Amino acid sequence: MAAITDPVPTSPEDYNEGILAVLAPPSPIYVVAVLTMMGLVGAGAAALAYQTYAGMGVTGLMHPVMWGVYITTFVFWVGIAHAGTLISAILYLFRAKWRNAINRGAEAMTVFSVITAGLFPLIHIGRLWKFYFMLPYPNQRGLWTNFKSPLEWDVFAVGTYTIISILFFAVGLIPDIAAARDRITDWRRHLYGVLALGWRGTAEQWRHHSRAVLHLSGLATPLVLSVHSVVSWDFAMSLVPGWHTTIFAPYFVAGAIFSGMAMVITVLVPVRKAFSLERFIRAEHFDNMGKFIVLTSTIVGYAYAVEYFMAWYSANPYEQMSFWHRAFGDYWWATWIMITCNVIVPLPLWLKRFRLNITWMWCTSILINIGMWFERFVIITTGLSHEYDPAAWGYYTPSWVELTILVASFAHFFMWFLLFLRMFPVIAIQEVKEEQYEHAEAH
Amino acid sequence: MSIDLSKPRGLPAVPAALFGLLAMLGLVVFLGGVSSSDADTVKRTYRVFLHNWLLFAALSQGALVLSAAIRLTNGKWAGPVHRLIDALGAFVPLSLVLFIAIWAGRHELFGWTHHAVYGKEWWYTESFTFGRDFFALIWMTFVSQVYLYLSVRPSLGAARETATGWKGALIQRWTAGWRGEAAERELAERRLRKMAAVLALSYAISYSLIGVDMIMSLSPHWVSTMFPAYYSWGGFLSAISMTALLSLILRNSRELTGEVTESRRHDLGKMVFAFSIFWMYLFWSQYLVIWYGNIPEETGFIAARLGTQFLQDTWYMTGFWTRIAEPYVQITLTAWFLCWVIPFWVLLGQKPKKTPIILGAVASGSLIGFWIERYILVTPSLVSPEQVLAGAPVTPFGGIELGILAGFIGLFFLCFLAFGWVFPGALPPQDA
Repeated sequence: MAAITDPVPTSPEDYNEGILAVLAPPSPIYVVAVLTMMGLVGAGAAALAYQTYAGMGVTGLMHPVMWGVYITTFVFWVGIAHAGTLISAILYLFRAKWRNAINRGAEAMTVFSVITAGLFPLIHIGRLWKFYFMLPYPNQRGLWTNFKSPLEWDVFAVGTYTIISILFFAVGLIPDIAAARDRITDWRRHLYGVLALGWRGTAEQWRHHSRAVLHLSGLATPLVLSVHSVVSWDFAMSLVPGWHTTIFAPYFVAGAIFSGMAMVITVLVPVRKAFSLERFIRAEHFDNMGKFIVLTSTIVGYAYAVEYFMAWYSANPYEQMSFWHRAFGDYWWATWIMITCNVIVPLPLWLKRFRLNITWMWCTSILINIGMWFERFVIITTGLSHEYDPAAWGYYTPSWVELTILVASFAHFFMWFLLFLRMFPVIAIQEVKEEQYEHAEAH
Repeated sequence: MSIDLSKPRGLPAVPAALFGLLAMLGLVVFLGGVSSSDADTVKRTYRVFLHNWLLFAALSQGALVLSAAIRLTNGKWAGPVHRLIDALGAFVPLSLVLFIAIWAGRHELFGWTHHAVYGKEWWYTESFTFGRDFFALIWMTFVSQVYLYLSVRPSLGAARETATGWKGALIQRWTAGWRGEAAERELAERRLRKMAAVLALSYAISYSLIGVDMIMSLSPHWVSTMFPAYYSWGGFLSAISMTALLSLILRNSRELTGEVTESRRHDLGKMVFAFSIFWMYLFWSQYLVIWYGNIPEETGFIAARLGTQFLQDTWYMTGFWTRIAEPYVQITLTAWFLCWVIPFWVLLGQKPKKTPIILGAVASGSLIGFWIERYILVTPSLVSPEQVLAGAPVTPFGGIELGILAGFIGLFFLCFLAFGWVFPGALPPQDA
């Protein structure tokens, strides 16, 4: 496990060549990877078709656990979507230049994960075609959406987030698409021609572009807080023991950034290796992402501790029972996976030595992803399976349909990301150039 | 600009005398209050002392967390303002000493010292509660002293040659084993980064505990998982407002001349603006969940402060003026206006952030807001709205309230000045 070395690009051409080389004709491994992902997505689609035909009885969802893998996975993917906006918007406003090498990849992940997340409420409602009932518009049914329901707030929160993250992604891409348009000769040239929106790189265009990015950052920053807060309120507004708790909003946001940052590492490590991007995604980037992981893992650990303490402190037997059940009841294994992966596994990253060890970082990031999926599973399932009345307690086991769709969601995300890699520059060329020139000038 | 760091300076006479007088005034009011024959006055004095302590202790410690956060994030925006932030932490050891007064007044403040709380019998006992809080504050004082020592030491190179008297002796002790300035700076930077992480982590745990024991325990059946974090964040946010205010007041002092530039004011303004939103976010996240859940053991705490109906249904304005006239509601809303509404709307644009008078006014307002907010966290738990309606006198601006506030302001800024007085280059408004 060698530490990361960080050679830097030597000339402006080196940036264009190095980054645009990713767009060269694909290797067989890439093709196999994309086909595998497509196959898994196909399997998920088949499972969904079966569920739609046979009804929700083919899932493990049954009283008292009516929210299971689907809602867990929805929250998981919405969480993953947070890293992109954090890196693109908040770090932009804080003038953290190191973001430049990873922001494009993270923004793309945001778009694909929020789209993946958006599928799950549809899958969960069973009657997919009734989804438009959630949209408020004057209609012949004489029905109006229930604005008092946090589930309705979700429609707006996630919808807004999807629009803003796509806008952010598309606006940031314009100059690089233009660079690709001027270089690529195959069929994609026409696509880039359209998407580049006539970009010529004039001073006037750059001025508009940088102002657009600044304003979009300002708009997107509150969204980092609001989206996952609203998702957390799906639970916190209820009276279910273990769900109704005031710390949920900031705790979910910290958890979302935690898992999002871990997914950025999970995805970028192989990409960096496969496309020889070591010159652009360097040691400092892993060091800084590692610091974010440490910070957010600590916040998440603090929230776990406070939840357990307050459950005891409340002197409320239902609350105490719910948390006892989490740690030592039917789902003890899920809870301890969550605590181990989210609090204990990231501890070595307090030391720089581990943050700079790429293999260690990658393995840690995968375990965090697993831990964060289980965090949502633990909250949802343990809460519902042991509510107030012991006669209504139950145990939930996901069916093969749910597990197939869960696996397909990962395949769906990676499929889009792989396709993106071949279509658009994975690193924001003009931003890394700017950073290097400013760095050179400062010296 | 170059600053002569070779000699510690004399304590600035006028400000020191003024703050000394305020401290004396506070002491007189406090001693007069606690030795009064009227039991209500004794209770009121301790109550006011607790709420002031909660503000100033967390502010001072929060300032060091801000300093640590700037170090951990490689923040370059602070420049010499960073030393000013460190100087705000000089009150930390005194906050530990002042905590003794809260211990002394425990029977006047905490109901659980008279009768056990169901389900928390062993958690709220005099020895365990105050034992752990003293331990937490002693630990925080220790960590803060080590942090400040590491932060100040590299700039004492010149002073160790020239300083005399007890100040010289102190500086000699703080610079024992001097390795030369460059080596000292490098070593301190490395150690400071580690200490910064320890300090921030310790603060989160210790001040969460203080939030539970000193505020939540006043209404011992109330539960909110957010509250410990909400209280400790408040310390951090009030430290940001204090930093902005002092940077502006001292912008013509020796160390800061030409340093509080337009760009730095913009940065300070952005910090006040952003963190006021964050404060509101925490407030709202706690409020909304409690309002929506509508469980009596949770709503009681909010209802005592924001009225029996939490101002709901006021869209129709029916009964709005009656509800807003309920005890404490207007005071709570004042804090809310000062801590969020005004900072948000006034500092929204770039220009107000850069204009000293506007930024200074907003930062002062926000500090007053935090003082009122600490008042409102404590008082309604001890003097219920029903008691207020029955005629119990409560006002944030009574003689005892303002007298003890004066005392805290005096002590806080005496510590601030003394820090700069002993350690050259550390700050004081000598020529302000």
